[in-house]
Amino acid sequence: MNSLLPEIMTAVWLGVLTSISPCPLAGNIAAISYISRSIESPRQVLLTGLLYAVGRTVVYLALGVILVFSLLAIPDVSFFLQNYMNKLLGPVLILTGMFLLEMLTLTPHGGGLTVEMQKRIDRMGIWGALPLGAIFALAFCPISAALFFGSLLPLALKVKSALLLPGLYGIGTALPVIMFAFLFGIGTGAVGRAFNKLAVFERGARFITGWIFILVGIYYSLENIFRII
Amino acid sequence: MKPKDTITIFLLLFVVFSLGFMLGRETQPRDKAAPGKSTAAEIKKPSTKYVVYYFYNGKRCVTCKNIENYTEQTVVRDFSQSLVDRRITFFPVNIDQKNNEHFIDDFNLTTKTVVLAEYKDNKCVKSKQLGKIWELAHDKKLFDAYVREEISAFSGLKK
Repeated sequence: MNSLLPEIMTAVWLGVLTSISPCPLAGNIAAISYISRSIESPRQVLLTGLLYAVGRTVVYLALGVILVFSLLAIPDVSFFLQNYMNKLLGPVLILTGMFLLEMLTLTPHGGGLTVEMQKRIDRMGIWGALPLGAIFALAFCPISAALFFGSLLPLALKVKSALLLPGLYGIGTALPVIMFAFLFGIGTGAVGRAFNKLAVFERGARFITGWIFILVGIYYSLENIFRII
Repeated sequence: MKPKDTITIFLLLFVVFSLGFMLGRETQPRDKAAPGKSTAAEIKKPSTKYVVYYFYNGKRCVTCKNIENYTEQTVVRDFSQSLVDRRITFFPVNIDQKNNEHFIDDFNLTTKTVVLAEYKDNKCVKSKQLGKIWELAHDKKLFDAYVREEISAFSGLKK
């Protein structure tokens, strides 16, 4: 383990570097707003953040295992994800934002949401961070592709670490997002409690998150599909 | 109609149009090399011994453009005599173009990157991908020094 220490630190640093670089910025803003919207409970914010990290980490672990064991060619996977996932991300974020704002609702019998169904979706709120992390991890931009496929994977191949290094990279990519989301969520919650208007602040957080998702989705669509930004 | 319904319809139309546009673009045949422009194969003349490639595809982000510009500036500024003698060439290559796709396998490319290649008798005998460019792209001085040193070490050409 000690002999792997430089590689371990490099993997985490590459993840952090990916996260703080400009190209995933819009996605990170969406993730921060999603994670920090549960302002009534710091525990819930932390749990949502951890699930977001798990979602990201699982994707990098899976890619690490598949690519280190050479089931697929690294260039093919890298260019496929860069070409297609970024394009799909825009429409996916817009639709997610519309669900958050209740512009779209799941209506199995055409009669609107039942109370039970609404509760289920609210519970899904925390677990939604899991697929969100996975989708953002799959949407490789040039710098994340360069650092993951060009720097992290060669390192993982060198030390034959298909699990540890890609996993630590995934945690590294989530760390800055969780940190900012936690601080933002706690701060907003404290202000809400101070004014005794937590419910109002929560509705506001949900509204802001929904619109951030829609605006980031439109931005990604204009940038990656229409290429006019 | 309520404003919320109008926005909902507008956003749904935007999503449908985006997906349709994406599918339409993806099903079109890929661009061929622009006529009149030199291709990567054409510069492999015997007089050109070293090629500094910048490979790009898809959208051109700000950092990607910086990497291309910094690399070109380093070659022009620090290897000007070799450039005049045609011992070294800077060559940006769009790997989205069909006739450039082979570079992905040739140099094991995974994203936009800079590759140094040595050609002898039109054959690539040695190459090196500059793996740290993305880590250094935020600092022009460090980036320039890294590219300059790598080119010198790879080719033996001096400033």
